[in-house]
Amino acid sequence: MVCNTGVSMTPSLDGETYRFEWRGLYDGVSILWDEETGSIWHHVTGEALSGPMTGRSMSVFNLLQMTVERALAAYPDLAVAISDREIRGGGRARSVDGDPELSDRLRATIAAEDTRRPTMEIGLGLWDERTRRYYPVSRIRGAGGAVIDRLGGRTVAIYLEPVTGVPFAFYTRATAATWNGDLLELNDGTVLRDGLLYDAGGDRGEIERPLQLFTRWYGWALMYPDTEIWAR
Amino acid sequence: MHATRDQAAVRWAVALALAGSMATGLSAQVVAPFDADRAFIADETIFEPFRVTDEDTRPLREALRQGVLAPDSWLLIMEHEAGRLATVMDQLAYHHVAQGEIRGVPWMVSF
Repeated sequence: MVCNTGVSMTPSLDGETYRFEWRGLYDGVSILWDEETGSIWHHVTGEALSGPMTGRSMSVFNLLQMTVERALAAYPDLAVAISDREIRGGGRARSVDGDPELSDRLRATIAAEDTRRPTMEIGLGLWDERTRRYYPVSRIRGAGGAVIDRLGGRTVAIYLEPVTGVPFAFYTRATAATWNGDLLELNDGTVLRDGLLYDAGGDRGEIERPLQLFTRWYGWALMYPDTEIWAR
Repeated sequence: MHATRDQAAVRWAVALALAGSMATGLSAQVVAPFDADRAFIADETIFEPFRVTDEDTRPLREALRQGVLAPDSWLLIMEHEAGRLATVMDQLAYHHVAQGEIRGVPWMVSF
């Protein structure tokens, strides 16, 4: 989709698994339909918007965007599911590149845009049970490509992956982060290299990520109209 | 002292489960009432969903060696309670939905 937005979910509730498919557009993003009940679901929040399941929500998890090269560096044993559909070029969604516009068909599904940021701006949205906050990629870049912030009582590092420019976030105990070549050096002694976190002794640590969405502004703001916008 | 691989996997699964439950609670609070008049809802889908079976899944390294994917091919990597799995961004830009099970745990990717 032009919104460049995706998540993973658990497509089951009360022990029953539902089968989903794309069925339309709402607020400029896709909506899904399940075969079992015919309900309409938001494709990011996982909430049933219409039909017998209205108000029910599926659990949502992160969906990270990486190239094959970066993914293998971070997860050498990763498996991939490949359909029989032709893979075009390098496989990058056209939505990320260039300067796409919101089509009339998409605009017709939007009540009112939030004009605090440019419609098609790319950023990283973070959220927890209390806070929704949007980090424009341009502002992360302006801060040197890495930001330390607080989210839900915890410290979080937000950074632009140096090769692809894709933003990611993870929880940390550091209070400062600086790029040194391809190394993200944090002042608690940890280092991020090739998407992997290493402690001060050079041993690999676990990365814990907050819920995050690499998205365009219009889609994020329509989902979470009370969103904060990060500024230095 | 470092956690074993199993301990780390359990911690990761717990963190993911908590993240998922947080998201469930949040979405109900902030999404405005659905306005059907603004929605475009098709009578049937025009994008076939990707129903993933074991036969569709292979090691990423193997897909690269076979030339099915290139080093600069873009992936969508789910960090799900069922486990970590990649799908191909260009394919999901068509399918919009990929769905399957890992060791009996259902998962779905929506893009």
